[in-house]
Amino acid sequence: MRAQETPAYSPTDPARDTAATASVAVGEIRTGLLRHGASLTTDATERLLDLLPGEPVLQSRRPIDHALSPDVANGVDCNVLTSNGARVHTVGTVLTHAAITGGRVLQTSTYARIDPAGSRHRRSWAHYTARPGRLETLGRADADELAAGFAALTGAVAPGCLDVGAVCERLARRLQSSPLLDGCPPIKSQWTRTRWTALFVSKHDERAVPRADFVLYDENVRTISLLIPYALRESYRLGAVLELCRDLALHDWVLTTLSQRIKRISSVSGDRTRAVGELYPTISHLLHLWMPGARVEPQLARVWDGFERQPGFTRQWNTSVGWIRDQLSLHTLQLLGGLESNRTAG
Amino acid sequence: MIIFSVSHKGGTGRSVTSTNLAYRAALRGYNTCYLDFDFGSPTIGTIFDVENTIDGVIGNGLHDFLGGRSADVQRVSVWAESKVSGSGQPPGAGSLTLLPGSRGGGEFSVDKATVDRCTELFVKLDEEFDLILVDLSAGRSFAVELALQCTARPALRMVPARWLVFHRWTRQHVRAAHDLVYGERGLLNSAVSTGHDDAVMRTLIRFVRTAYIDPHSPSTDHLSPTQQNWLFEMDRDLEALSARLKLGRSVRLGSVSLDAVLQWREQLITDRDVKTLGIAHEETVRAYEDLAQAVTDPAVWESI
Repeated sequence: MRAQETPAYSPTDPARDTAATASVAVGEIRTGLLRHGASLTTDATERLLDLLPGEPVLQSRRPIDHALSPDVANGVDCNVLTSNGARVHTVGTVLTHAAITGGRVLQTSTYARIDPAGSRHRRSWAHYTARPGRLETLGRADADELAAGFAALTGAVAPGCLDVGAVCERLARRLQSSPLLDGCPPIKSQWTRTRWTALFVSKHDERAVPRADFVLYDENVRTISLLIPYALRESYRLGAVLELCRDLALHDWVLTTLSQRIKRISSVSGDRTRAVGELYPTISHLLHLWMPGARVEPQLARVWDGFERQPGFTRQWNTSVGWIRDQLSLHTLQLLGGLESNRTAG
Repeated sequence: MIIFSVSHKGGTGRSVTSTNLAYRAALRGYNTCYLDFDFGSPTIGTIFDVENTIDGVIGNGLHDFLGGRSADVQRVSVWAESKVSGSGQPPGAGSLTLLPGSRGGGEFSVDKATVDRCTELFVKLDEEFDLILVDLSAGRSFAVELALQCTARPALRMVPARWLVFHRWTRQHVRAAHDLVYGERGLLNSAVSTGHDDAVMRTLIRFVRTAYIDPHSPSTDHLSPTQQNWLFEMDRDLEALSARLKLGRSVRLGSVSLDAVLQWREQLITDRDVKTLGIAHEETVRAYEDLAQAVTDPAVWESI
């Protein structure tokens, strides 16, 4: 994959401006803990996410601190694999941004909409740079196959193929090495990779119900497949889809990290000092981050509702938080019991 | 915490001791990863007994990543893929992840881009793992140079680093270990020239004796009285020599005794090898456990 950084021009919403043809948007989100001991201040967050001088960092305070960097465009000229194994030559730009939630969780996200009905010949770069966040195929391709091919690629990306994950990773590494961060994260945790596709189906397509699939592929890799019917396409901005995917990736990361903490705390439960030492940062740095759907547009909130029913994110979260608090109570009781027996002995 | 394993030359038991240290640390509940920086000959797959990584991996091993030829590094979960673990992650254990070298690796130059990539890798691993063990090549090498340059970078200033120097218990090996650390072109001088503080660097270095025969051990009972006396004398002389050469008791992290199993095959010593099969000594396991304890114990590293 070839990449070069160019500034993003005010992006037109790629999802709105096509005719009745089907199109697909693809992206990857990497989610991890900021390498910083405390919650990052608003000021430091703004400086960290200032990826393009002159472009604002969007910050909001309610219901939880959230900051979003401007988009940076990268030019790409590469192949995209379809589900039937074909390589489709695509040229254009992908957009990358970073988000920080609660001053704690860093997400880098790279995405593009692939226009499957591009021209037969490669055009000048000026044509592509004028359309930030859009990839055009050289020759026709099938949107369904492009989406399925992208979602299926959960392992290493073949040389010369679109690697949005590598762009995310580059930005994540750059931010994590920033002198604005103290380099002392409160807990050890893993990053997750969330690959997503959103298929905006064509006018003549009969599928009318929005569908979303969330798959835990392995310990760190997840895929989200969204199907957005033509009838509803006006209500779905690509920005809103991105926000939904980021929100899902964020909560999946918090849940995954909490589960790993629980595993760790269980393994040292015999050693009270160590167990309490592990409980403390879990409670102070993770538990307040749960706010599912807080930033998701109402039309897409139903997707979150669906995930709440099956597999039930919040249900698992509540059980896990309950377990953590019970452990804390048990250790407190043991400690009190210890004091009591000391007193009796004295 | 990043732990670098160095030795003055091959055959000191550096790799086999470091891998066993990593294994014991993981069993103690630390999330541990092991990086094969032995650029001359990637062999860690053999010790961990992970198939397909025996001579390093193809495409996305450490050399490919550091050389900029691969965006990712292959990770191998020892609990999932090694034959030593039996039935997956033992209860109470942390993760144990291996980052193998590339097949046919070979040395390479240390330029700014390599140091950038390596620093980023260390930062990423530090986000995830409690212990990062890096097995460096023997002698003064590009790998040592790379490790020194990375740890001098601001991004790693808050990540504690430790240096373990492995040597056998003979006059030649003790002198060579001294040269490796204190010599004109040794570790300390290299560290200072890459921006480390001499006094701080000294507090980060500890020595590990390998293939050690303890004259007090019952394993020497079969020796004749003359041989035993000689052994005592040699041990005392070597202790005096190493104290003079600044690698004596106060800076020794531990000793691993000579174990026949390791003379014939580099491998992880499991509890099964000791208790069920009876092929390895219990004191070998204890030595590895002590090393794993000492390396993570802040009190050990506080002062000399």
